[in-house]
Amino acid sequence: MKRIVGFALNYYKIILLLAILAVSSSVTQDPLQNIKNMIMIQAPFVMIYSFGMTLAVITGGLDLSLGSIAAFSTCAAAFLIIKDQIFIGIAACLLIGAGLGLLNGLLITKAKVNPFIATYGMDWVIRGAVYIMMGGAMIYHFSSDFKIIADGSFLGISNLVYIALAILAILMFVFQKTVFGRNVYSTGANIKVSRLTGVNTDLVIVVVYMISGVLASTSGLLYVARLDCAEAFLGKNFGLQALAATLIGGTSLQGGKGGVGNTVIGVLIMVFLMNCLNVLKVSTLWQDAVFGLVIVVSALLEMAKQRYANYLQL
Amino acid sequence: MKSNKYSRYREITGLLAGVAVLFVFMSFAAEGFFGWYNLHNVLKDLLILMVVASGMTLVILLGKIDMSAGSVMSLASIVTTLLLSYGINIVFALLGGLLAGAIIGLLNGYLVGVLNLNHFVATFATMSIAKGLALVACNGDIISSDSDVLLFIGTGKIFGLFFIVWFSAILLIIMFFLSTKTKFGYKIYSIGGSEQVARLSGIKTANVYLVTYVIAGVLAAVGGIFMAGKANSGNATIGDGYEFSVIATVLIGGTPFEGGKGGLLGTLIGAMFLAILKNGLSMLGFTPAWQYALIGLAILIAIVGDVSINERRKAEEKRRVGL
Amino acid sequence: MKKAFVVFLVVLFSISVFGVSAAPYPGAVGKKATLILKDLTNPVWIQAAEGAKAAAKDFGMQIEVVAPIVSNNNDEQIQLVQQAIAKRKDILILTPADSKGIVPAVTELNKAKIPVINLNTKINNESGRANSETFVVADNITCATLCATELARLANGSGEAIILQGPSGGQVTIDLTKGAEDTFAKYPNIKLVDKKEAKFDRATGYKVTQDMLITYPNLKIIFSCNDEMALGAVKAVEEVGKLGKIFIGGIDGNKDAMASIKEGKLNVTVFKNFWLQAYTAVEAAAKFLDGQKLPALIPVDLGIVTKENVEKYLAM
Repeated sequence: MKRIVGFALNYYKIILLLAILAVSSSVTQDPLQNIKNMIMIQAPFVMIYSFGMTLAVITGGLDLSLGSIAAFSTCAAAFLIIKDQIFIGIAACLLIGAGLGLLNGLLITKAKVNPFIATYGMDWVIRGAVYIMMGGAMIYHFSSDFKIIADGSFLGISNLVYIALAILAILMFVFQKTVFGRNVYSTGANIKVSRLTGVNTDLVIVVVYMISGVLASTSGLLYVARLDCAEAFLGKNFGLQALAATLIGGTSLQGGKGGVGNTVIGVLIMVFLMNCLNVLKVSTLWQDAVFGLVIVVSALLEMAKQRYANYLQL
Repeated sequence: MKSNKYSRYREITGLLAGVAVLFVFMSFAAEGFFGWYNLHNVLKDLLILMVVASGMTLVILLGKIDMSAGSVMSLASIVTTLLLSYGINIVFALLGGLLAGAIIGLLNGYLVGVLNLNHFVATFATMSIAKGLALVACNGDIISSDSDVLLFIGTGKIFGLFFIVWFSAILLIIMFFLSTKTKFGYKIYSIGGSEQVARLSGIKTANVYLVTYVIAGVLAAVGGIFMAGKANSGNATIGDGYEFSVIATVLIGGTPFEGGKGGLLGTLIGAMFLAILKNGLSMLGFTPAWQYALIGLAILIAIVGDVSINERRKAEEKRRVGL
Repeated sequence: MKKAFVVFLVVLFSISVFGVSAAPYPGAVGKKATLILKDLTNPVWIQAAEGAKAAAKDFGMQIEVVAPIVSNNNDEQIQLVQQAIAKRKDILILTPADSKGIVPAVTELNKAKIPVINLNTKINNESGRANSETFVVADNITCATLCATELARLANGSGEAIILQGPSGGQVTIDLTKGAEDTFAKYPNIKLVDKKEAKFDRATGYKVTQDMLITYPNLKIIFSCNDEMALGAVKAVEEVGKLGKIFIGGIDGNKDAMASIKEGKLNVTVFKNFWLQAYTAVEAAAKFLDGQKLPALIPVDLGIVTKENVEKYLAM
């Protein structure tokens, strides 16, 4: 019994994911295509910007400006990409993402503004700026050289998956194997102690928000390439979705714990759950309520898991 | 104790000066701003924001947050108008709306105070749940109310002042009293200062969390009912994103997320700042795009200014003590 | 340089003099109007603002175009109405985001004796306390009916249909859904199988349509409450190679959607002609200020855009 409980609590997220998958597969006529849709198309988008949120959460903050960073950087870059300056455009997009992330980081470290309000204020400013910049215009019909980034596939697997995996691998390496990664975790766990041990915590936080900005721009760019249109309202729900995925994945808001690996599971649970509700023909009106319940339940399970681990140690 | 209070007032004088400058500027620059009709309306909207923000202030003083405030507003507006549409007496309809807020508040308090879930996660989830319940209850529709009483709550006047102004003023006086003069208020400040110390000194923290979140839920419901009264109808989207404005108000007012510091007076000034800014920018004729950018910028400037004043004061105190 | 400036001044002067003397509605010249829209970030509403400004210039009026910061927010619209009263405007043109919720604000306008021109979405006047001078009709129920009828025609009046909705609980979603539902109900062989919220957003429309294609393999009609979601749906349908088998319709008539119709991907959209809507409303306001009597309804032509006539709309 003890063993079963322990196993169930340890792997509750995987079990939850498989349960959702079983339900949705049993009611659809083409479960393979459905799973392919989720894994190859829907999940990679959400994953990339959710990684940005996760990194910010590990430092003990959060990034509510992801969506507007994605919109601003892609709209600015679209002016270049539409003129077939693809590489310069992409570079500009990522640079702008990094620059806006830098501003977030400086507000948090140098001006000592709480991350919640700093990124929320920035979200307003950047969203306003992109509305002003576009003035109601949209940029669409990009060349196929650009669209292939998100539309193409290699060996039957969508490019999106390769990109998401590559980003995941880099982030996993940086945050688990390098000094910088360790510093990020120690900054999140206890900023005062890590400062005393000689970590330049300000630098760590600034760099993390820059990475978060770049990831937001990257996912924005992929959306633009996939949907063939750059517009000012892109990503209005990025922030809250990324936060939900991060929390479901089990990265704690106290900071210093969790990681992008957890978020992969969080995103998959979230994406598959929404898909499951859709294929079960549940009314849209119920989705918000169900979504909230899942966040509560997964948080409670996470807590039960930790309590159980403590109980075993005693 | 006295010197402590003195410094708290000094903390908000900077912001108050900012509000005064903003007010004078808007009075000269924005056509139609400085007039009883407009200022009376600004006061009304400011107080709706303030009522919700006063509940949020208590929560943030505890070192917690309540992300569900906006959704609770939507839920309360739907519950009240829905009950009215079933022909239920207005008193019970209003109580129903308040009860909805209390229940969500109780759920928040239980998750945070008793089950020890992370406060952000718990209220982030109840935000979705409350919004979802509102949508399910109204079946995605706008509920019209034919109640003249509800309309009076939102738009009626007593002795030349809006009902909302009178009612909010009374509520705020009670809240001010509660937070500064009662044992309960003292407990909130001490838990926000240090939960462990508070617990060691014999405060039942779980109860304080429960009561505070219920108060915050009920006050958000009051805000939602005000909104429903202004429109004389219930709409499940009315509170979307409102929690962010409320949290910004509290932070601008000088109550930081760490808890234990700040108070309602600061929040009131924060609400004045945001309400005057929004009304003024709109009266000046800025498009929504520019308003987005300028409001965001103003929030950041207000917070950065507040932080730097506090930093300087801290440094000054350190020097005086000789550290 | 100086000479050029003088010429410029002369030109400017003559334009203003002749412009004013040529004004068709002398009573409206110099009058102050406010146009309250539902949103000013979406391209189609920005077109409306431009139409209103062009009309104001033609009729010598001063116009201010405003909209809530949070699009379709009723409470902010109430505040905007009150601001217009505070500024003592001569006339107000109102596009309510919530036809029931705006009523108390319109009552206030009636009390302040500021005439109201109702544009686009009807103000609900069941109580008789929200009077307006005229209703410039281009309402969403009609749009939805037009689009759904065309989709039903394309599908030969049979098959499974879904509706992609904007944010739940909003007036726009409610009206468009009602129009489409009522239309599809007239065809006994069309079965409305689902309604799904996709938040007026292209990416969400794409995602939801993918799920819908799996859930309803025999899907034949996708009615979308705006062009953005419709284009998301087009992308999802295109990827499973069902373009031409599934008929997709949008609402608004933005440039991107028309380009897609030209390519033969999107099947139909309703060109709401926001520019003309606003122009017509301002003209109605000018007529009213000039003392003319207005009809209760002023219809604005809504264009059904299909592959056959898309060139005409693209040229506009």
